[in-house]
Amino acid sequence: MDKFLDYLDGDRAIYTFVLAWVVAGSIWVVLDWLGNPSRGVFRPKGERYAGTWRERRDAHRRKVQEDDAGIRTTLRDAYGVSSLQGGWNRGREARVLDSDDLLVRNRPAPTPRQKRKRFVRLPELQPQELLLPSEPVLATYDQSQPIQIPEPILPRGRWHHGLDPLMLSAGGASPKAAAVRRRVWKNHADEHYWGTENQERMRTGKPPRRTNPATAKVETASVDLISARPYWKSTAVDPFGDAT
Amino acid sequence: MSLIPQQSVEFSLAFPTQVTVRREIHSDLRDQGLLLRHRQAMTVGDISAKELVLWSTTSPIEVTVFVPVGSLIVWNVWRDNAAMHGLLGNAMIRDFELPDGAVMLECSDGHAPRESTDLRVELRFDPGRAQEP
Repeated sequence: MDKFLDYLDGDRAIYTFVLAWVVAGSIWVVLDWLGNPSRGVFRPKGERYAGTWRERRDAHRRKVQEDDAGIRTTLRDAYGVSSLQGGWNRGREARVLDSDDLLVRNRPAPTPRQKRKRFVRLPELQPQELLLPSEPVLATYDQSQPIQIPEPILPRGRWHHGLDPLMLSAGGASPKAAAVRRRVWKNHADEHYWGTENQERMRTGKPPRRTNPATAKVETASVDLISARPYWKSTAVDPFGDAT
Repeated sequence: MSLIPQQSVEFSLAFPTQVTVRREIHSDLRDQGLLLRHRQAMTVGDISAKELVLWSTTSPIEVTVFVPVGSLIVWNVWRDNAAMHGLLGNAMIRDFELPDGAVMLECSDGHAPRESTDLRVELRFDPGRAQEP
């Protein structure tokens, strides 16, 4: 005992005290862990699932899907779309709409039905209000001919090489004049009659150039912004025709 | 024949000259034309201009142009996408002097190889028959 007390001189007493508490705490944690049968994630009683681990895993996946569907449904109700991501398109939206309806609302998506026509009873026309037979008919509807819906004049979207230079943006905004010129030169860069040097310029969106032998000045080609066609400014007169 | 590759030909006229442009052959792939440029106005019939273009589709085979004194520069043009182009790519003129003093121009447009002939015209210069417009 005396030897032990001699051994505990100075700092050794402090180290021994701390070590004793660490060992005791560790033993207490191990005993507590061994004695507590509930070692999983805490789950409220209402969410506890009594079944095999496979059934519990399937139930968990379904719960995650239901949560995601719930979020998408909330987004759709608030913003009209199921996602605020940029890559979301109408096809994905339609597929998600169907799956969400099955998951959240637990019923298939309602089939679109035609609106019920409401007939309004109009007052009967008097004979004097009827059209006179001599009045010309402006147009006649022919049921055998399908109604042609006119397509939009200019396409929309992100422009790339080969598309119409006057193409609108995805939002419907018209391109600036500089953008039209750049697109025209890129589209015409594959035509070899411009010359190799000019083709290199045109591939980067720059206009072709040539040297006028009469003035010895460098001329730059222009773009007609209405027809998106390239041309050279010239005062040449065709004495036998209008077009030059 | 001019051995130097050139896209235009220049003629120096010491007198007012009647230039007769006679088109011999032209390509049908696209409209071919001959452009004449002078510092002063040239005259074809009732039309006067410093820059005249004679298209293969509109002008007669033989055209008489009254050219004042000075430098007459000629180059070939063609039409692409309804626009006149010239002096580009493979566009080239080869000129031959004929025994009777006329000049033959063989032109290739920018599409074809330089050796091909898309337009061949003969230019005849006659200073004695020049008339003031």
